[in-house]
This record gives sequence, C-alpha cells and structure tokens, in this order.
Amino acid sequence: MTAYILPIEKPEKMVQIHVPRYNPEVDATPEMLTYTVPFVPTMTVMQALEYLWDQGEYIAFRSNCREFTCGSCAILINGEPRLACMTVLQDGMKLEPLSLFPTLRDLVVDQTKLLKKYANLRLWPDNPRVCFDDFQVSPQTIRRYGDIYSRCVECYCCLEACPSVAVDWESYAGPMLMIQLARVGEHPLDQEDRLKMAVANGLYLCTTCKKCEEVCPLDISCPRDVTENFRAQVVDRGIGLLKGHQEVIARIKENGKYTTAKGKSFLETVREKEEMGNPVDRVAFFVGCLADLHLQDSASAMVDVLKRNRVEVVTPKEQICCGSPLIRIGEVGLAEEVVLKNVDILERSGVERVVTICAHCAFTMREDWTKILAAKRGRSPKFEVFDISEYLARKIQINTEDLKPLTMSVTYHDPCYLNRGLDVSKEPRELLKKIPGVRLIEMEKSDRCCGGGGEVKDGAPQFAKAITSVKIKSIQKTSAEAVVTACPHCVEQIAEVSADSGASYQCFNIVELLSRSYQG
Amino acid sequence: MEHWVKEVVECDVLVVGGGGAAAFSAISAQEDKARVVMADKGQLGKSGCTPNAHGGMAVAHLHPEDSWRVHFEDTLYGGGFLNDQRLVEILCKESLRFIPKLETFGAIFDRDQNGNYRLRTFGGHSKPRSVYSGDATGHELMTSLKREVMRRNIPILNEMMILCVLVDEGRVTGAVGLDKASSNLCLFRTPAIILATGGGVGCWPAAAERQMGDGYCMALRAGAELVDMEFTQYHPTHTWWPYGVRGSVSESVRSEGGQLTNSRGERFMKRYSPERMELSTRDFISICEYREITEGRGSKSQGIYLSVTHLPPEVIENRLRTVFNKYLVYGYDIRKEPMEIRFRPHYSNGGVLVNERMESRVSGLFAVGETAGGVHGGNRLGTNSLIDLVVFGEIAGREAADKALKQGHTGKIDRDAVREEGERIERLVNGNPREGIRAMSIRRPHTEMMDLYMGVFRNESGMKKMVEEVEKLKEDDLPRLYVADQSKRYNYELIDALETFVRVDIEEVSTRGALMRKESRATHYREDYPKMDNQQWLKNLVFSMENGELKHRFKPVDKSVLDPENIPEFFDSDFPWHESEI
Ligand SMILES: Cc1cc2nc3c(=O)[nH]c(=O)nc-3n(C[C@H](O)[C@H](O)[C@H](O)COP(=O)(O)OP(=O)(O)OC[C@H]3O[C@@H](n4cnc5c(N)ncnc54)[C@H](O)[C@@H]3O)c2cc1C
Ligand code: SF4
Ligand code: SF4
Ligand code: FES
Repeated sequence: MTAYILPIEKPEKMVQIHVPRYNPEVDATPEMLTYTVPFVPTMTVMQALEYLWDQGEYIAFRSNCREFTCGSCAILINGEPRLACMTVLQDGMKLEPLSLFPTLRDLVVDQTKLLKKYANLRLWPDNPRVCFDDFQVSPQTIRRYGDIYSRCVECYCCLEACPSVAVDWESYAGPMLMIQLARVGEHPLDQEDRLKMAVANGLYLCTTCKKCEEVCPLDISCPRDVTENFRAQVVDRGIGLLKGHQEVIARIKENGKYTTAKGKSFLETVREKEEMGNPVDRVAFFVGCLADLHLQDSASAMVDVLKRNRVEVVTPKEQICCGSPLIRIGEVGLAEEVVLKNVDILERSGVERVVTICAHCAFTMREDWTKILAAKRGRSPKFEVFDISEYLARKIQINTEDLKPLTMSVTYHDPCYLNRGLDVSKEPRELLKKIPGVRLIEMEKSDRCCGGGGEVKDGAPQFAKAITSVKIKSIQKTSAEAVVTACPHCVEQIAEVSADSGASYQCFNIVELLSRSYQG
Repeated sequence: MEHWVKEVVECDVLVVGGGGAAAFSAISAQEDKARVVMADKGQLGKSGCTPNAHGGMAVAHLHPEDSWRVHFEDTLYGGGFLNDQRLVEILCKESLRFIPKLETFGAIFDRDQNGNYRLRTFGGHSKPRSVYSGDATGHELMTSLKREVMRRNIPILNEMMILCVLVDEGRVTGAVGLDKASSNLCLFRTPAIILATGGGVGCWPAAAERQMGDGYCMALRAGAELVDMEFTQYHPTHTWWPYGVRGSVSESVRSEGGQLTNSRGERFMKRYSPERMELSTRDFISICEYREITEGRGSKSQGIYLSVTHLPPEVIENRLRTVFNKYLVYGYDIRKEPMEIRFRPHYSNGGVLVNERMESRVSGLFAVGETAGGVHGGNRLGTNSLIDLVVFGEIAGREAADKALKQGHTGKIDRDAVREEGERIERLVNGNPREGIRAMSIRRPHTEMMDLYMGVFRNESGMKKMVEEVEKLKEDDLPRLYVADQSKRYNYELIDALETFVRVDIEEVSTRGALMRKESRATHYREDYPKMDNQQWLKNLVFSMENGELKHRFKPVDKSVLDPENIPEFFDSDFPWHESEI
C-alpha cells in the first residue's frame, strides 16, 4: 500500500497565527511571534500547533485527548478562553496562555492555586466508607449527572472568563468549582453540607452574567443549572440569606416593588393610555422597578420614543416587579405569585406585544414567565415580550426622519441578560448608528458584566462595585462622552460607581438618547 | 550521580502513571498501609486514555443467560485463546463488586427506573453487560478515582516522566524521573513499582497519539518480559475527514444503520461479510477497508465513507447525538454529508508478562492496565479494558504494598544507571547540530511507516523493511539525536527526543514479533499467511532484553480453565476471527 497523503500536505491556503513565546526563566517579557501554517477546512488550532512541532517549533502547550474530553488544552484564542482542539483555525488568530494563572512557558500555565482550591473543597462523597452495596440513585440525579456534571471536563475556561473570579477568587470559588460542589452534593452517599460550603464559597457573588456558559465548550450553564438551584435551596432551608436580599424579598412581599422610590414613581404619574389615530402597533409598556422608581427619565423617554414611532402605548398601573430579583435570590415561591399576577394584569390590557427597557425584565418575562406559566397553568402567555431595541430594529419600521443630529461620541455596554440572555447585541448598535452625529466607539470586552446583575449589588455591594471598576476602566479607555446601555441595572450600577471615581462621561439608557435626538 | 539528581523521593510503592489503572493501584496500595507516591507524565485525571473512553465497562452479568463463565468465554474467543486464563477468570469473577465501589468514590452510572444498572452490548460480547455513564464512562471513572486519590492525600507528582526502573540483583530498588517543569532528574527509592503507563499505539498514527508505551520499554530494560506485542487493535471507524475532527466514531453509528461505502458508492461489506455487513468485528472491517483503499476504491481523502445521510434526521440528532454534535462543532453536518473514516490503532493488546499478582519476573516490578499483557490475549473486547484497570489495579496495589512492607528497602541504587540517564539528557541537549537530527524528523516518518508496514495488513517484505528502518534508526539516528531547545522549562522537544528511545523498542518488539508469527489470528493479520494455525501457533511470543539485544521465547498458552483443543469449532478452524457462540 502506498503511503496516503496527509490532508495537510495539500492545504487550501496558508494562514498566520500569533503566539507570545515566553520562558520566564530567561525572557524579560513575552515576544509575540507570527507563524505561517497550512490550512485545510475544519483544521483546529491544536493541529496548527502540532504542525509547528513537526516543523521543529516546539511551542509549549498542554494537550492529551484532542477531542475535548480531557480539558487540558484551554488557552486564550483572540482573547477568549477556548479549547485549542475544538476551535477551528482562522487567519490571524492570537493565541495566549490563560491569564488567571502565572505563565510557566509559552501557553503552559501554573495551575497550583486551582488544585489547592479543588482539594480544599473535598469534592468526594464524604461518608464513613463502609460498603454501600445497595443505595438508591434518583432518576433525576442520573439525569443531572449525565446532562451537566459528568460532562464538565474541568478545562477552566469558565473560571478564566468569570468576572467575579477575576476580581476576587478568594471570595468566589468560581463556576467550575460550584458545578463540582453541586455534583458531589447530589451524590446519594455524600453526607457533607454542600449548600453551606457553596454559601461560604461565594454562592451570592455570581452575577448570573452567563459568561461562563458562553465560553463553556460543553455548554454547561452554571447560573441556570447550579447557582439558581443552590440559591433556591438557601431560601428553602432558611440558611445564609444575605441581609440585602431579605430586604428585597420583604419589599416585594409588601408592595410588589424591588426597591424604594427616589423621587416620584413613574407609574403614579404616567398616563395609562397614550391613544393616537392610526397607530402602527399597540403595545403594553412593562416599566420595571428601577425605571419606575429610580430612573424615571428613561421611562418617560420610552413613552416618547414609542409615540414618535406611532405606537400606541398602554402602561398598566398595577404592574409589579417582574420577579427577576426573587428568582436570582432563590425565592422561587414568591416569584411565581408575582409572575402570575403580572401576567393577569398584562393580559387584561388586551395587547399582543409587551415592550421593556430592562434586560432583566425582558429575559425573565420571556424565559422564566413562560416556564412558570406552563407549569402552573399549562399554557403560554397571550403576549410576546420585546426589548425596546429589538422592537424598534426588528418589529417596526423605525422613524428615522425625525431623528435630529446629536454630536456625541458614545460607547455601548452590552447588558448580560440582553446579549447572552436574549441574543440581542446587534440591534442597539444599529439604532445608535441611525442617530445622525452619534459616533460609536467600541470598548474592550463590551460584553463583560458590569456587576449590576444576579442580585450581587443588593447582597454584597462592595463586591459588585469591584466588578464595575473593571468595566469603568474599559469605558474610560474609549474616551467616549457617554456610555449607553439597555438596562437600568447597568445604568444605575455604572453611573453610581463612575460618580464615586469621578468619571466625566454620562451614562444612560439607549431610549434616552433616541428621545433626545427626536426632541433635537 | 548527585550532580544530576536534584530531588530524592522515598516511598514503599511508586505508581507510574495517572490513568485509571494507576489511580486504582495507588488507592489499593495505600489501603494496605503502604506509603504510595504517584508520578504521572501528564496531569492526574487529564492524561492517558482513561478519561477518553466513552462506551462502558463490562462488569455486570445481569442478563439471565449471562454469567462470569459466558463473559470468560467471550473474552477468550476475542483474544484468539492466547489469553492468560487465570487472569481472565479473575477479571470475570471479580468485576461486579467494583461498580458500587466506584460509586462510593463519587461516580454515578446509568440506571433504569427500578434502580438497576442499564447495560450496553459491545462487539464480541454475546450479552449486554457493559455499565456506562452516558457517553463519558471513562471520564466518570477517572473523576471518581482522582477524587479518591485526593481524599487519601496520596502524593502525586504531575508532569513527572519516569525514564527508567532501577534494579539490583533482579529486584526493584528505585526509578529515575524527569520533571517536565524543570528538566531536573528525580530519584525514587522504592522496593516496589507499579507500571501503569497505558498502551503504546502512539507509535502509530492513532487517536491516542500521546501514549507512547514508556512502560513497555522501561519493563523490558529492567529485565521483565513482554508478551503478545505483535497484537495491536485497530478501530475501523476512526475519524479521517473532515480534518479537524479527531478520535473514533462510536460503534453505535453502525448499529443504528450507518453504511460503509467506497468511492463507487458500493456497500463493500456485502462482498466480504454479506450477513453481518457493517456489524462485523472491528478487525475484520478494518481489513476490508484496507482492501478497498489499496485497490483504489478509497474515498476522496483515501479513507472510507461512513454515511448516515439516509437515516431520518431525528435519529441522527437524538440517538447519534454525540457524534452529530462532535462534527457540528467543526461546522460539518453528518445529516447531509458522509464522514470519511479510516481504521486506526486503538489499543495495545500485549504488554508486560505478569503473574496473578501482576508482578513481572523482576521482583517488585508490577504492571497493570494496558501496560500489562495476558488478559486480553490477541484482541481486547470493547469495554473489557476499563474493568481490567480496576480489578487488576486492586490486586497490583495490594501485592505491591505487601511486597514492599515485607521486604523493606534493600538493595543498592544502581548509580551507573542514574548517571547514564543524566548523561543521555546532556548528550541530547549538547548534541552537535551540524550532523544532528531532531526528534520531529524521526517521529513523523516513523509514525507513517508503522502504519504502512505494521498496520492492519502485514506481510513479510513490509515488516522486513520496517525492521531495517528500526535498525537504521538505532544505528544512524539515535546517536545523532539532539535537542535544539536549550531551556529547561517545559522542554517539549526533549520529551519528544526521550520518547524516540521508547519508540525504538516498541517498533522493534512489535515488528519482530509480527514477523515471527506466521499465521493470522485476532488482530494480527498477514497477507502471506491469511489463516489461523492452531497446530503451530497456539502459543504466546515472549520478548526480553539481554545486554541490549532482544531475545524471544515461546510460551504455551494457559489452558487452566478451558482447553481450546476441546472446542473443535475453534480448534479445527483456520478462520482468524471467532466469536463465542453462546
Ligand atoms: C477513544 C478511546 C475510547 C475507548 N473506549 C473504551 C471503552 O468504552 N471501554 C473500555 O473498556 N476501554 C476503552 N478504551 C480503552 C481504555 O480507555 C484504555 O485502554 C484504558 O483507559 C487504559 O488505562 P490505563 O490506566 O492502563 O492507561 P492510561 O489511562 O492510558 O494512562 C496512562 C498513564 O500513564 C502516564 N504515563 C505514560 N508514560 C509515563 C511515564 N514515562 N512516566 C509517568 N507516567 C507515564 C500517562 O500520563 C497516563 O497518565 C478506549 C480507548 C480510546 C483511546
Ligand atoms: S454567571 Fe457570570 S458571575 Fe456567575 S459564575 Fe458564570 S461567569 Fe461567573
Ligand atoms: S463548566 Fe465548562 S468551561 Fe467550566 S470547566 Fe467545566 S467544561 Fe470547562
Ligand atoms: S486536548 Fe483534551 S480537551 Fe483539548
């Protein structure tokens, strides 16, 4: 038999990759080198590195299975943590070692710190080790092991990407370790109180930003599958609930609002119906607690923008908190009550579409409400929910004629619940580009969490602020005059911490910018 | 000697490796009160083949017609009756009690609504008996073992490549290792060593390309014997094209109706095995694929087409979810396009010759897992490996601990051998670049040659060519081998060079063995001797090394439980691939 020709010997094209070569023993700093490698369709980054080995360029990197089961090969590829064996090679890719750990050489990092944390969590079933021949494992446990826990290859991508780990790994163990804690906690032979361990390891420091889920090569979601589950158990068992969260729950129980008013409530002043002849559409406005009680300007701007687009707006005055804070805290029972009440109110208004200006509301209404309604009433809501950017960019023909120039440079921050939650990131940018005179300057990692979500800011405000500080640095780097976003939680968090640090830019919701432009 | 050695570690039992067999041995040795140290070339839990095993582990004789004896016979038929029957008996009788044990360590295996383990059937097993955890059985096994190792605080030296075993008067006294992080040598003083370094298919272009067979080489050079090394298992459906997808394509693709076709679109298996078609044994399909490719009917990229495009999309999306998703990651949709696959080496069936205590003929030197030979004979049945790791891991650990504690640290450290290791590394790093040769210039061509001459289809002239190549490698290349990278930290070129020495031994032993065995049996198929010859060849081929030269001997097969001569369907037949009829 003649030797076969390796596909790599007849490449489709040549591509370049950039790798910092670094041996801290002898080099002062990493030297970024560029290598040219052949490309065949579907070829991976790892195959490119292997090709270089074959050429005598022994770039140091770890690997073993080459089919995403061992988790050895995580590196930063164009700044995002990914498995080299799972990432298809593209021209110009930049490969770097994970930044969470010290670099030992080239792409190899020192994971000692992680291994210590791992050992400290005692991730084995804690029991007296007599022989257990006959114990039961519930079908649910088997399912969760199969769908979630056993699939984690411990690649550390999620740890690298997590904004909470980045600010303080001592306080928050991070997604992978939370998943592993949940894994062992669900084992029928484990007798240790894993919930208490989770709380002690920062259960309430996860902003539920879903970045870990986005980077996980196995699509495991820590916030959905682990964090919220654990938090629900905290509430059930009445242990470890933070003071700030108890207050949130108490407020919602008492008057249906997540926070107390600063100034006059928007809902008290707004006209319930903005009627007009020949509307292009008719929608209900779900205001959300923050826009109602703290950021009333954005709520007014919203009504203005809708009117200028000839959309008839109904704003039901009895609407209450969407339930998001309760679900993030783990108070699922109360959340269900709140949701059902809101559904009734909105359905009574008879509209088919509901629009929001809050990423948390939009996500919760679309995802959690649907689930709760299906479970409780066996049906789906009679209305569809849209975030305002999505609505303006996709649902109607936006009125661009009346947009007047605003000379301003802005940068856009992606709210996690909008971007990763509902996959809305292009729409707000399209809108910004429609406003004459507005110049969009993208910041580094615009999708990085601002610290405003997951109820961290009510439970552990200092920790949330530390996350925000990282965000603020990327905003400042752009020198933009304003940071625009699409969620009151982000607006409030960024504005507050920016003010503390004396930043000069403004911060507001995208509808405010639109409304200003309409007003000229 | 001190000049080379930067660190000395003393222990009762040194476990070499960080896969399933290593972890279980370490646990068992510690259970028996020995001070254990593990040294892994990679990282515990991430290295070796164990975390990559998907399918299952053959343990549970829960089917009403199944028993240890049925499992035993299946295993012998698979192995062409070359197996060590005493070991197979232990494997099949002991297996079931390990599942609860692994669950105590933290694993969870799939069960049905009534709490009974779910079972899968694998090729060669006449009954469903493989317990599994979804498609991540090996990963689940490894996760639980790793944590048990951590719970017991067993010291583990990650990224420590053991280079040689030190022996004094036929007894283990220690080992030398290379710390990848610093390139420093580490001396281990220990009366017992368990080699659990996995297989050696990395000498071929294999899925497990990182498994080079270090343990075989170390055992051979320490005076132990290797058995059945001519038998390398091929997996018939290994990914080939699209290029980015690696690893094997699960057997389930064929059991769900996947079709193997050649460049003419013909389901060629109908010419070779009209009844069983795509469901024939791994080796047989590999050989048919080989024929098609050599006769010019290979696929576009000189593989074979494996197609599921005729199946309803729902079947592909649900029942073949793992494979479907795997291809989708690389942007390839197997609902619309065929996969191109190729046979690839998958498992080293042979290994270190051991007794029922898993000890080699060198006192204190144990071998277990894929490193040990004998259990699987000429061919391992699917899912028989993972259970082998734990059953024999337990024995090896216990026996090694026993030996170490009874015997204590006696015997001298062979200082010359340690110095030789140091000098070998110095020679590599300071070699003369002008006439020198670097490791990658040997690795790639030799990998391809092993596929070409020592592949699934073998003949005298090819293997002779390979022997010549090995001689050339030994005489011309090894002395000139040098490492261009001068740094000490994570010098992967140095590792590549050190593995070249391992490669020489693996290539030589397996090729010489295969050349000698003038018949076809189990995974060893010879074009020039296509028939099984029970008169001449129902015996094991055993290699040892004396003064750097390979020596061989024949060992009669073990018939302590079942004498193949009493099974005329097998004994009188000359067909190389048998399966149990039960
Ligand atoms: C893709 C795939 C799927 C498989 N599926 C199955 C299945 O479903 N069922 C089944 O039963 N079997 C399966 N197998 C086979 C099975 O996985 C292996 O045979 C088994 O895991 C080998 O285990 P081990 O502990 O002997 O060696 P390995 O798990 O390979 O471990 C070897 C260890 O030795 C270390 N090592 C190597 N050299 C040195 C050295 N010089 N110094 C120190 N350490 C060293 C390595 O780092 C590694 O930790 C599969 C194999 C593959 C490749
Ligand atoms: S959701 Fe965000 S904060 Fe929470 S674990 Fe994942 S990355 Fe970290
Ligand atoms: S959860 Fe995902 S990203 Fe995190 S370690 Fe596990 S596999 Fe990797
Ligand atoms: S090499 Fe194992 S996950 Fe990439």
